[in-house]
Amino acid sequence: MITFENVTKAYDNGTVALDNISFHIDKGEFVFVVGPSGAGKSTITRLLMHEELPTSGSILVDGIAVQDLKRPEIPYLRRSIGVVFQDFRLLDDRNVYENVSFAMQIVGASRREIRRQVPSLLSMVGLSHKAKLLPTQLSRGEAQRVSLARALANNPPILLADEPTASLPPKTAFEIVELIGEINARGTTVVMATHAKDIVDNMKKRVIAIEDGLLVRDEVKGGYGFETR
Amino acid sequence: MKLANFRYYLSQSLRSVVRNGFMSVSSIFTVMCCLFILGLFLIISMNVNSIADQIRNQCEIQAFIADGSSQRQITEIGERIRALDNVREAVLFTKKDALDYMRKLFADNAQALDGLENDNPFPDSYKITLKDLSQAGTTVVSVGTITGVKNVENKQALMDKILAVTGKIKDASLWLMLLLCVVSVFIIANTIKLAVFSRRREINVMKFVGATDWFIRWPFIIEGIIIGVSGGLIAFGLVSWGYIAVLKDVDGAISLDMFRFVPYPGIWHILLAAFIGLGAVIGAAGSSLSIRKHLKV
Repeated sequence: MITFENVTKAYDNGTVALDNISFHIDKGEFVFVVGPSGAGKSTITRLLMHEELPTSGSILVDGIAVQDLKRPEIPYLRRSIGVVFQDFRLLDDRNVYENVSFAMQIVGASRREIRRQVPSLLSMVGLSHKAKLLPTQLSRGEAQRVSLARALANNPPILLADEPTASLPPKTAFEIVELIGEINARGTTVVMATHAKDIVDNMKKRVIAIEDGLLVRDEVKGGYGFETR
Repeated sequence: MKLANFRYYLSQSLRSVVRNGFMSVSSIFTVMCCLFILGLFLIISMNVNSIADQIRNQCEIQAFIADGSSQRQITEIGERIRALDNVREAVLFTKKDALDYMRKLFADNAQALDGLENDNPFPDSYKITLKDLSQAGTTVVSVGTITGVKNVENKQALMDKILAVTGKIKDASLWLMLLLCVVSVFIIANTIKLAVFSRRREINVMKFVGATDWFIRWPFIIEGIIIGVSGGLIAFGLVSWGYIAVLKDVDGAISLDMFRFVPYPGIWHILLAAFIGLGAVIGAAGSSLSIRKHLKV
């Protein structure tokens, strides 16, 4: 589903964020990308989303060479990847329902499709009863659930989660990761960049560890493996 | 463009117009002012055009007949004038007609002409309409050689001057209209820049959810068009109201047939189309300009 082949990303200021990294993620896998701050985890996310281009090497997402995409093709790549961020990135002037339906409107879904899909997504993340609330009226955990529902609105085959639990209390963080685990169990490939040692150690999923831009470890039921402060 | 998408664009544009209420209203107002002035010049241009056409159509020469000519001589002169190639029509304008015309012209001060009935100083004349204006000079000479014709007045030079002035007014109006369009474009560009800025978070979300560039751009372009057309419609209302009022006031005041204003029923649809069209084009141009510069999608 996702292949990084000898990918190097060097920025104009000389920083090498990723140094000749290669890995392959199969369809339906759940993979943690771990590493200290500044190790290069977010660069992987940005490269997958075509926010940045690799300096060298190639990135394949569902058979598509991301670095070769032309500008008009980029949105279609992004539609195949649902993204969840640490800061949720919800629109504060729209209620929960609208935040999710927004993602469907963008891809031109009909009203009927939206009316069918959004309630089912909200039910999946356990927020059916809060559809009419604004993001500012939600707890952080609930906001992240809305963000998850939005990421899945267009049934993407891949879910990319960039530090999704970083701003959440431990119990809520576990609930969110459990929810992501359920989503993965339904067949969605999950790539989750995280600092959360407890979660990674507990979940016993594949771990790709990045340090100073290098891939230092790729384990099938791995642990976090770094010292945490 | 899908219907569902268009509905979305329109709702987003209207939402943005309302959200940036103060900015939207002030730019609608500014665009309205620009288009109002532009509309005034458009009306002036239309009238100048119409006056120029009227001048062209009414261009005539006048042959004055020597005093003391008999009625028979006057008729003969008329026949000889009509026999000339370039003459379309020659109408006798008698001494009495001339005096009546002057009375009408002086209106309130017509009593100054009292007593002239018995000693009318105005000569008999023929008003001659020509087939080909460019040959006016030759015709004037030919008419002048007819016995009994004292002199021939050729209004061509005056007409040329009037046409030259109207031409300059038209040119100046055109440049001013262009300038006002450019000003309006920049005003809308500035408003859209603020709209882009206030929606940058939303744009960011749209990008990573997979919105196409045009999906992000359309609402801003429509917002610009809404502002432009709103300003245009208000300006249309004001210009129409003003023009109708001016026509009412001026109608009785100016009695010269030559300068008849273009009647409102004949131009309202042109004005409306011009205001809506210009508003839309200015709005779209302004927002496109802003999007190119400030919307990195």
